[in-house]
Amino acid sequence: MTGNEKTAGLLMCACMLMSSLTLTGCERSEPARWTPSELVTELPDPALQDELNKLVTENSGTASTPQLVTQPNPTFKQQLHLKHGQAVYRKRCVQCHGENGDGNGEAADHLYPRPRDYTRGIFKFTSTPYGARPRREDLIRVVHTGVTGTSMPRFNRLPEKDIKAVVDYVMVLSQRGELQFQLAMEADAAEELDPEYVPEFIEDVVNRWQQAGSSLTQPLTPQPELTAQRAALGREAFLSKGCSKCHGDDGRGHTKDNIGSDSWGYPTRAADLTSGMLRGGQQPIDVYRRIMNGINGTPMPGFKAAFASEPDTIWNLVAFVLQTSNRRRYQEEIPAGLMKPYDTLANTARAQKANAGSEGGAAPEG
Amino acid sequence: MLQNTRSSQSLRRVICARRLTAMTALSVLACLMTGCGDSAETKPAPATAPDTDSSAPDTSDTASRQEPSENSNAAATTESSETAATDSRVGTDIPESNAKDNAKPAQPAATTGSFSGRVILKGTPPDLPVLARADDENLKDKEVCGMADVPDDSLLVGADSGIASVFLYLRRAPKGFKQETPTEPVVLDQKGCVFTPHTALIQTGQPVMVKSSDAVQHNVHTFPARNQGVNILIKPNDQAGIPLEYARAESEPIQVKCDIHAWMASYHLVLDHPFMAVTDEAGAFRIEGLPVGDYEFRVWHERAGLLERELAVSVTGSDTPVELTYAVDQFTK
Ligand code: HEC
Ligand code: HEC
Repeated sequence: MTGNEKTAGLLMCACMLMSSLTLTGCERSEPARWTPSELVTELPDPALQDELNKLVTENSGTASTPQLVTQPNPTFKQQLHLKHGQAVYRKRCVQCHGENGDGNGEAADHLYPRPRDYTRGIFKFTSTPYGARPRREDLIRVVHTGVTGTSMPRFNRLPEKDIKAVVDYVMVLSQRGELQFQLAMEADAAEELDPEYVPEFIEDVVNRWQQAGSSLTQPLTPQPELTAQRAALGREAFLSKGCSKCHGDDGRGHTKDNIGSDSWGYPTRAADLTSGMLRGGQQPIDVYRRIMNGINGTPMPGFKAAFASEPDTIWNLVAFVLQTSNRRRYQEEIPAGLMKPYDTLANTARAQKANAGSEGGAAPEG
Repeated sequence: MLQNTRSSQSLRRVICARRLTAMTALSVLACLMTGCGDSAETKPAPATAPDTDSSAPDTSDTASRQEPSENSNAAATTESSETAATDSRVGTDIPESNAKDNAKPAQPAATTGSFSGRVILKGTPPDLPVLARADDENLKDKEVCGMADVPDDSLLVGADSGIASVFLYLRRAPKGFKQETPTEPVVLDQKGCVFTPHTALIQTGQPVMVKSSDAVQHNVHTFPARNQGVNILIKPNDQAGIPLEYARAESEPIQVKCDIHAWMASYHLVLDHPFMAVTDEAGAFRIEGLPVGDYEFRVWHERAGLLERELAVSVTGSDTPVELTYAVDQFTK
């Protein structure tokens, strides 16, 4: 504990010299506090709000006694582990992801894409089917590698123990957020929380997270060698099987109607596959899972059923996507599409300077 | 899911607006008749409510007395005499026993009854531009989606101002009600880049099949609040179909979209009981097999959101169709 505090002190000094993003994370010394979401505070009946908050606290604890809905009555050791995760979180993640994990940290309005709002239980870069919760391993991985091409940093230098603890704390925030969201929707619809139905909501959260642990999706066929020939076949499939309808013929996504919205209510576009920065990971299996399962919370659909009778087509597409993604690396000129690039951090920063921070922040600069 | 959050927020606005409405003297009567007031506390004193003689069905003369005045901003008015009479009891907190007494004179022997009627638009329907024009050179997948204009089906007004695609439902099954889940699948097709049907009534656990009769790819993207969302690519002309699953009841109809053809939208109402209906092209609906008793129905439309949270309906042995009338500005805000 004291060792940690010492490092914290040193880091605090280091932070002062770094960007203001990091600084805001270091200024906090007051104890953690969770607050009810807007959906809850907007409920017209204060007594119902209290009832709801009480249910959430019973299942997720408070910020000083955090607890997983899936792990009621944590042991002392488990509690210490989660408190440690909280300390790491408040040092390194809170400025973007916010104290409640709702993606509303102080820096959030200046970032595109926005930091993940964990409170819906929805994560994008998972190894589980569309709509399912992530496996713990998925979250560990994303914290380790970061999300290339976005402001989500990689934390590969953090000790394994810190990463595991912070991920478990992210899961606390996510399960709490999910339960709170479900209860708030119910309270809004029914104007009460009928004790007969409340256990269902808690069960659903528990079941969804527990099922995720055993729903790792495996490729339909083993990975073949990703040859140029496969990439050529992949290109054909890309043009004929529906990919180009969103990503454009060249994979840049610069088509005029390429604009949708994600489950968090923000605009999103089909990824520019030529950018050289695959967010979901550069490994063939990563790209495979994006195509097979789709990307949770976004318009990117899963193709598992569509390719059931020709499963190798997914590998061909993987070969094509990786080839496309690497084009810039090989100094290939890529002709400009209809729209200018929109999703790099540099671009967002440029746009911000231009707008001098007047923007609400939710809309991508296109 | 976002859609759900949003709609629930706008819903709250609707309700708040209605609370205010309920305060204005003009619409007190209309509100009392139609159940647009909510909790007992916010309700105006029921002294003016014509509930003193509700067991004796009125004549249609009474109904015309209840016509809203021209500039009334009341949410809805029921015009059927019997229902108007029963509706007038909303908010007056009739005890169970009293309700039973009311049911008796109608048909003492019946154990179930039905609820039917029409939903009607008051005012001139807006002129909605078509969603996809057949003569649009840049239309995506023109060879399939451009076979004919795709009309905006988000507000369909038919003969005699009947509004189609209005959902009427009980949020929860009547206490003690149990019934086997139907095993025949609900089939959702896509034709000419339009979801057919535009609305679907689904019970939890009931099989659902998504098919395509189009020679292009579609994706079916659901936005439930309680169930797990899905987003699946459907192959061209996939007649075998892909199964969907809804395990939990939703509290409002949920949106189902195709992101490839962004104009494509449909709505699924998923409940754990069969007491739901959606209006046809003429605005007509009918729900049968309801155990005799008093209910609060919800009325929902994709453009208006919740039109009624607590539409009081007394189911007796005999069914007198009701007319629910809503002003056009509720669908155009
Ligand atoms: C500078 C801002 C920033 C910081 C600091 C940050 N994140 Fe993120 N994080 C993001 C953004 C932005 C995304 C969303 C990327 C996307 O949508 O592609 C994200 C996404 C995530 C995701 C979701 C990945 C998925 O599959 O959906 C997790 C989990 C996550 N961050 C955890 C953390 C943790 C844990 C920390 C601290 C150790 C942290 N983040 C620090 C900005 C940040
Ligand atoms: C309905 C539109 C749509 C279709 C069809 C579609 N995509 Fe996508 N795709 C998207 C969107 C939107 C994203 C970005 C999601 C996000 O992160 O917000 C995306 C992201 C991706 C990614 C992840 C890129 C990264 O940064 O990791 C890959 C890979 C991908 N798509 C490949 C494909 C392939 C291959 C196909 C065809 C088999 C396809 N897509 C079809 C909309 C679509």
